[in-house]
Amino acid sequence: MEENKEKQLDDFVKKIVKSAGLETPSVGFTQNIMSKIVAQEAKSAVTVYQPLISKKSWLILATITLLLFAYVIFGKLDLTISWLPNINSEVLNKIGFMDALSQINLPNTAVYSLFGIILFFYVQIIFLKIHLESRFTLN
Amino acid sequence: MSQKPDEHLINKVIKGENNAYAVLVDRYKHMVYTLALKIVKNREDAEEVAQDTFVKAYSALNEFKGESKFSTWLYKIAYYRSLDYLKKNKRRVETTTIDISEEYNIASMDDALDGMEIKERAEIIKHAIQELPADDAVLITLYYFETLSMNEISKVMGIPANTIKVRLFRGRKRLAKILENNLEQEIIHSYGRE
Repeated sequence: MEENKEKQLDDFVKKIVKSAGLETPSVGFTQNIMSKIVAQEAKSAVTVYQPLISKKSWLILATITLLLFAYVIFGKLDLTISWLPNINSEVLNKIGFMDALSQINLPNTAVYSLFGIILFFYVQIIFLKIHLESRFTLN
Repeated sequence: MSQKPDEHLINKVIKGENNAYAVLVDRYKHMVYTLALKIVKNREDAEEVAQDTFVKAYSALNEFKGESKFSTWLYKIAYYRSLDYLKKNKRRVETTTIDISEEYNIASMDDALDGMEIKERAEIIKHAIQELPADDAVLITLYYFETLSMNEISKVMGIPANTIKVRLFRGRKRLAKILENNLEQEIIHSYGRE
């Protein structure tokens, strides 16, 4: 009985929805879209992305840098600067900056929670990225 | 509407024949506009959203991989554009909160509708669908008019197919109740005129 009623309603809704038909947009609808598309294409042709430094100049820059490094490393270059006073390496050791860092003791719980928060932060980035990208694509 | 001509046209558009896109727009504009109208509930806004949908679809046409039907893909864009439009304009759409009830008489509604002129009948039905909550109206249109499968609707609206089944079940009951209320009012109204 109940199933029968559902079937009846199903048929009825199908019939009325079909008979109501669809709504009609305005007359110039298609025309409007086509002119919007043309306008959009014209605009995007003007604002085509051009990198500030072209590939060619990057290549030249890279070659120069590499050559300089090669010269410094392989060339017999004297790197001592006469007017700079010699820095005593023992002075550097006395500062003991790294030693001070190792003195900091965090309770284990704090370490775990910090680690957890950082981990979830990165996980969140992945999820947000997937979510935003999936909005206009079908799987 | 078979699948093949769509693909043919899409390929033409990708190759740079803009006019082929106009054919696609003409083919789907009614459905896209109707879907937008079901959600934004206002003709001017729906027109804007529908146009926006087609412009967006045009620029994203390269991303359409043909794994699903073009129409399903297009409806998905339309659905999300409409929701975005509501969100952007911070508008809340007023819908009647009709409880789902079993108290309606299909036979008498059918009789009442049969007695009407075609145009008047279509208006009353459209009005009733329009009064449904947006998601219900979209669901009912896609399922009953466009006869999409539950899986396809699930792709368009991003809800699992099982949920769609349940919502459809409730939505059509709601629609029946709204329609019955409207018909009663219409009948009282027409008696008054005589």
